[in-house]
Amino acid sequence: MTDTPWIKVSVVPKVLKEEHSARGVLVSYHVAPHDVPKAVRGGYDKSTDHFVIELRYLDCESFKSQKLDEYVTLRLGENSKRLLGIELNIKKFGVSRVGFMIDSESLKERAIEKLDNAVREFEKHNSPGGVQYGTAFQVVKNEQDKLMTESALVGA
Amino acid sequence: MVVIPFLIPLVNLVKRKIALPWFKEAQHEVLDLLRDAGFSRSPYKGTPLDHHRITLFRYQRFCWKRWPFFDAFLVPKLRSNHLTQKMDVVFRCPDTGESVEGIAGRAFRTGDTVSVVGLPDASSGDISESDIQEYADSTFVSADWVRENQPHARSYMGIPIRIGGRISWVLVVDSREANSEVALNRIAKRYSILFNPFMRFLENMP
Repeated sequence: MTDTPWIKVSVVPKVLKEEHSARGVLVSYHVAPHDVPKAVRGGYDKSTDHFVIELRYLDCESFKSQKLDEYVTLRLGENSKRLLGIELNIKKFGVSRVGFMIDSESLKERAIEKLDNAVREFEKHNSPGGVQYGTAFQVVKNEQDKLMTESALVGA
Repeated sequence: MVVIPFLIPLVNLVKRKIALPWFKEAQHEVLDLLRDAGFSRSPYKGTPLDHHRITLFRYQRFCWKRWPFFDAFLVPKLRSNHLTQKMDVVFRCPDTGESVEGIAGRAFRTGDTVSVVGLPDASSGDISESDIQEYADSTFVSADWVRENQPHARSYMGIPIRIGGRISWVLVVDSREANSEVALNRIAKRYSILFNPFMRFLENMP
């Protein structure tokens, strides 16, 4: 578990579908408030040696892990299948070292690249209409500079 | 073993009857705050309280108001303000999904916030058959249900409420105002702010 502070996010729930009738009735569907992340944080989990991004929603829920590839594991809500977290196996990134210092910029770039690839692959197999992952991934993307700081990535 | 299914609703009924008065008042207070967030300001200011209501429906596997009693239902438990407190409408939401009823059922089934605006006035006797069908199709009930209940509401919003990741409640806003999009958006926004105390109420509600 990480102990970094939560970053509050304010997301306007996305319109999913709108149906207009000829007589002027409008039926619309939005992402529900419980499916929109309210806060996000990132930190190094020393017990697993993974960099972990966690998302917080209105209600709490336990998670199940789903490994996407050797670098990325998703934490999905046990009941809702919402995205509750992303684990990045930083040690497997093969990042170059400058002396004894880790090249943090290259580490961050690799982390973002691996995450993007894994998310793209995951979204291909999880079509819209089920759980809405787009909003959660967008929150992580928007906040990636604050989440993936040098000290957070290497657990310093 | 046979009596156990009958004991559960009985125990729930007893718990409900002995719930502390302050607890129920607090629950009402939250619903009133939500209602006011949407409808106490312009352009709805000054309209009667019963014209814009918020009702909480609970998902449960038993309801004596509809036969067969053992199925899946969305049962009204609490309504904002002090008027129209008689809540008889129970919606069915079976596991098959296809035959879920009402805005509450639709929000439960999709897991999304569902809103409907611009409905025809179904409360008057001179509504046309095509308007009845339009109302029924847009609110996910049968035309017979509309004829029988003659609902006053002309716009709705259903918000599915998750507790521990499961949808176990649905909050339904109904308004006699056909064009209440502004108010519905205000309520949807305020819901997230008010939710933390609200969740504790729902978790402990008998």
